[in-house]
Amino acid sequence: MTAAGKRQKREDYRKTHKEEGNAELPKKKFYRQRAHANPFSDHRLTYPASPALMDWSSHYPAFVAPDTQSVAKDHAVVKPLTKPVTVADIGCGFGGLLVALSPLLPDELILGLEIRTQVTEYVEDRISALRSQYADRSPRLYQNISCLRANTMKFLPNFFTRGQLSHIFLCFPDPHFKARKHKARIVSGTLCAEYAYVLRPGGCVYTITDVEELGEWMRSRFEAFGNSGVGGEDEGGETGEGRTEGMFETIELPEEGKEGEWVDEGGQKGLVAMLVRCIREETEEGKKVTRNGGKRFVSVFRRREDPAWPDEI
Amino acid sequence: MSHPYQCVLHCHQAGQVESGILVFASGPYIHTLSAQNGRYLSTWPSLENTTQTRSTGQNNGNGLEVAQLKSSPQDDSERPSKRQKLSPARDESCSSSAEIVVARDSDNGESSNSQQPLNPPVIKLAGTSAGQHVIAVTGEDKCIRVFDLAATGILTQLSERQDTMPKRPCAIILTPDDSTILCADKFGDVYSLPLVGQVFETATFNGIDANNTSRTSDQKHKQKPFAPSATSLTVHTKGNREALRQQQNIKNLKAEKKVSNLDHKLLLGHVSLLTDVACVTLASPSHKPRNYILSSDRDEHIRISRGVPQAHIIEGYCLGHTEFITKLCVPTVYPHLLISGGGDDYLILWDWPAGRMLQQLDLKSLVANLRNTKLGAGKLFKGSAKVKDAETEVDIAPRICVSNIQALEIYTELSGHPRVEIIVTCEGVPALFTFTLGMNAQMQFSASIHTESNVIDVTILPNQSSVIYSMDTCHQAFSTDASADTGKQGPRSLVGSLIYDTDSKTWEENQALQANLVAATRECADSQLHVPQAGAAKGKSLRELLYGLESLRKRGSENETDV
Ligand SMILES: C[S@@+](CC[C@H](N)C(=O)[O-])C[C@H]1O[C@@H](n2cnc3c(N)ncnc32)[C@H](O)[C@@H]1O
Repeated sequence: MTAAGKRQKREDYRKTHKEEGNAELPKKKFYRQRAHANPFSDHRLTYPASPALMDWSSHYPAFVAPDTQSVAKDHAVVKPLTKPVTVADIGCGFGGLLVALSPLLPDELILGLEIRTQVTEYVEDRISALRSQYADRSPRLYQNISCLRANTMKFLPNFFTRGQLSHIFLCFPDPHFKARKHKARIVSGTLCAEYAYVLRPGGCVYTITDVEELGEWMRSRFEAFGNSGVGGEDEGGETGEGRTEGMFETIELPEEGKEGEWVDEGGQKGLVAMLVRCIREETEEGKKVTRNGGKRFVSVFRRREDPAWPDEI
Repeated sequence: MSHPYQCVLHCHQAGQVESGILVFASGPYIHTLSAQNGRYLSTWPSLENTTQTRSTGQNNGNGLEVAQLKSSPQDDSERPSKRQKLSPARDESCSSSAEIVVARDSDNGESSNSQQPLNPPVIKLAGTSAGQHVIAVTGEDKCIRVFDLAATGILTQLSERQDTMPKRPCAIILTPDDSTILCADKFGDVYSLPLVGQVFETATFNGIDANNTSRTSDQKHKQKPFAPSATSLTVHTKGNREALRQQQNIKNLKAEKKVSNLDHKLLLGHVSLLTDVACVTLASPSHKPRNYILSSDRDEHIRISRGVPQAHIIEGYCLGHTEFITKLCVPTVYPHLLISGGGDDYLILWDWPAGRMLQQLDLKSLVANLRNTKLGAGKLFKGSAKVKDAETEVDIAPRICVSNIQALEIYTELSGHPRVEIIVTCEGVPALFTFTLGMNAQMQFSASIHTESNVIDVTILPNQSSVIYSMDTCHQAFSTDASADTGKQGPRSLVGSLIYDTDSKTWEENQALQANLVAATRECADSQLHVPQAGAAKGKSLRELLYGLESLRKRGSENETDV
């Protein structure tokens, strides 16, 4: 079949899959797209001018506040939810983690953000199919997860306000090996500032990768952040005169396979262990690593309170 | 015809009774004039300097070495138009500029001392609040120069930081204490550089024979103590070593060269092109004054960060623009207010510490009205002023691109609270739009002041309640590309000046200054004509220099494709 023919076939499939109440899970092969999207280019993105203008009601219909009028903001009409989104899966890919998190964090609204159009579409169709499948058996399941297309490197503050999030997942980010491309990495000293901004004090960033160097890179960026300005020395960060603590604290983690023991202990530690097991085993990329018998490098960082202003010290 | 002044700046020198000095950038030249009486003072580079400082680029041993360090073999050549890949072709000429017979025969490769290459055009000027230093940025070579500004108007270059900035600077300001330069770049990063620091050497070229290329090259060599790729290998963390190993067969390690620049520090970064920065101090009864950095980008964001040394902490955002932002203006007397503008049809007034939008102020109708009255409605709106077809209207209605927002405080004897006059200009519009900002944090349109030509840059003379603005004499009013028809009109002025009359509350021409300013622009031009017009931008490059902001507008192209 010609390339154009194939594309047509994929488009037709995706169109018919959208029919209301389709409980059949979408097939990935119809949502294929080039592996990388350039985070620096404009694309044709839609995003709210500010978080207040974001209408979440179509994403989480089960959580639209009852008895409330739609609120007109500027020219947009926003139907408020009963609670805000508190969990973000950045670069969620095909949505494996979202689906796994839904029953684990039933009280939180979880959002996947993905830059590639068709991958986003796949996740949307997948969630809608799951919601239909479970509509009778377990009507709350999968109502708390959703996905939207966004370039998170640019537009995170358009979706989330200061301190809104409790958990941020950065799972198997694209490695961008060449130094020239490091600026395209989803973790950098300057982006740590935005993660710190949308994360509440006490909230956590979960990172996982199968590229050891990238794991080191992410860890050194989060650990150096606020300790030596925005970045490590090689990014020319401000040196932290008089400051010893960064904005992020690296958390001790259970070994692979031992998460269960920690989970049983419960509490904050148990929660982190449960989520760490989840990113190791439930992400699409994590599953690939299991199949290939590769290695996974996990780090979790807890956001500290904002440091005192210089005049308060 | 003279090159328009792409940047104008007023420096008030602390402790001087006089009104300070005006600094005008014209292509690669920087002129100074008295702000007191508008008289011409001096030009940089001066004639002598020019012939003394530049190498003729004969490719003898040392010349080559420098060229290699600078990554482009032609870097040191005598052809300024070829020096940087960003430099657009200079073969298009701007109306009568072709009359200036340039004694430059670079195309056949010959050069003589009278044809020294000049720097690329200045794209930004900034001054310290004490008025003793001027900072000039040239874009194509990403060079930041710091000058001492004498009371006589003479500029003495203290340092030249070429190739130290990783990306082209887009905005440059000073911290309130004048100690540090903040530079925002095309890649979204804000760096701090000490105004005067240990890292760079004073560049004195006096006494160096221009014919002696090797000595000149030596001098240049010394000025850049950091050879880019040499040190990049030595400064590396664990994490990066791995990455470096993976690219060992890539010979060109250019991207690593910022590592070697110890004198500038990364403060914060957006993943977007930065367009403006502001540094604001907020006083409070409960604690010492606090510093903030405000930064705006092409993706509609205004970010509020803490000041140095906590610039990595984001305090908030001012979100509400739907197009690129170009300018931020925080009036000194109302430091919690911010006026921002760019590609949107309106300005926004913010209570920025709260991230709250207070007001939107329409610009589009102001520009449209002016166009209709000056050019005639029929010319723009086919047949009638109102066009029914919405689409057509969108097409011909002017696009707004704010190029300046300045605040002038007006003190009246009676009330202790000053009013602020906000002066706004747009690319390709021959006007200054003024707004009044009162104590109630309400902003009101006050006047459209029509000017002879499109306004390029504006600067404020606070102690004279005046503004000085530069104009584009190369293009027609209301157009950023149609060349001016010089035959039809008389000579047009490069600068204009206005003074605020507190009694009538109106703006009038500052006659005391105007006549002298116009005379001084001739002296400025004369001081340039003695050297070849090598650095004068023309055609497309001139357009980009004067009207570079509209190009930030997004075109809505989709860069994604299927497998
Ligand atoms: C290697 S995949 C990992 C997918 C998923 N997290 C997993 O673990 O299976 C990385 C994903 O990040 C997405 N991505 C890259 N840059 C992004 C950006 N700036 N904003 C949103 N998503 C991005 C890519 O499109 C890709 O789907």
